[in-house]
Amino acid sequence: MKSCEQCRPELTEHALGAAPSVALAKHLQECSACSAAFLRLQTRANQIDSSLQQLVSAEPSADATHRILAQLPRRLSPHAWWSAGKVTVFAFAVLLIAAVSLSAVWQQRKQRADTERTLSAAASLSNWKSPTQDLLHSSYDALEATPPRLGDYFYPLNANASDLQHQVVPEKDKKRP
Amino acid sequence: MEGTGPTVKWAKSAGENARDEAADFEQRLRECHRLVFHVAHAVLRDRADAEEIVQDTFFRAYRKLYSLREPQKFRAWVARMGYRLALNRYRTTKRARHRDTSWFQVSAPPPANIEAALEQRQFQRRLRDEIDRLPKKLRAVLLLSAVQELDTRDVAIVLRIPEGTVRSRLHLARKALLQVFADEIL
Repeated sequence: MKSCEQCRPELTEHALGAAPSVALAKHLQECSACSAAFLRLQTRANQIDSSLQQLVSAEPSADATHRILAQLPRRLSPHAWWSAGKVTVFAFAVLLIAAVSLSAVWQQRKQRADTERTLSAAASLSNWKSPTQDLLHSSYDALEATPPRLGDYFYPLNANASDLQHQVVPEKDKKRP
Repeated sequence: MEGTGPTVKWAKSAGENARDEAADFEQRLRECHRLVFHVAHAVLRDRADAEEIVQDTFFRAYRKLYSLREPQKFRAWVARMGYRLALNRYRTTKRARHRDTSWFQVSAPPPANIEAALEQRQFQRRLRDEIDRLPKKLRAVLLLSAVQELDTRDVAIVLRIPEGTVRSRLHLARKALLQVFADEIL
């Protein structure tokens, strides 16, 4: 047989709606103190439940739906793809692409300008004349340009000795027929 | 039953589909706004805050309606959204919150005499303090379960926990509250 102390933990469970054990049910029949305590516990549990119900029984104001509907956007469909967030993202993406494109064009122009400057400098260098250039010219430049042919200043092979009396005339003084 | 009230006027360029969707949303709003209010009020226990949460909830639901794959789950979806918004408001409010202390007296039956009235007021104040002392998981289940429009399954959907967990936590919460008073009775 259970004592009152042993039944006490189970009394709370029973007050909350749990089915009592056989021993508890028998004890409650025999013990008036525990039976009265159980009734007070059950009353308190019901009071807690009803108070909780009252906690959430407050009602919204009568014009709540009216105010919400009045503030909903009028031109946007709930399923419109062009929501404010998506428009912002799209605009940002367009700006980003434009910025990247402009940056690429600017880079290209800069490179072209650099190339033109380089070519101009190379052209200037190619036209440069050394100050010692005049010292490198001489009267022998024409001779170097037209070197004499072999045999021009030698005797002909079929000439006689008597011909040797004739003065040898350099080829350039000979009168040509 | 809700009054008819003004309906939202849509631009002609919205198209027939958009108008049908807007009318459908308006119907859902009228059906579910009390539920969302009760959920928010259960968390915040302040009428003004709860009404703000209701507005925020339906504005968000309106913008994100396209993401709801199953329209028949709108009720649970919007209740969960309201719960999350109310919870965020509850957590982020740093100042001492003024609880709507009249929530017990709104629907409570008038006490028979002054002594009963004082005892009732004391009990309500103490119960409110004990509810605040509960672990937050138990408190959430306890307060949401008190909302008449929500059954155990709905509470499980809002809190994203199994139904069995809802029942066990509800039992633990009620037992914890009763235990506070049991020591005086036993």
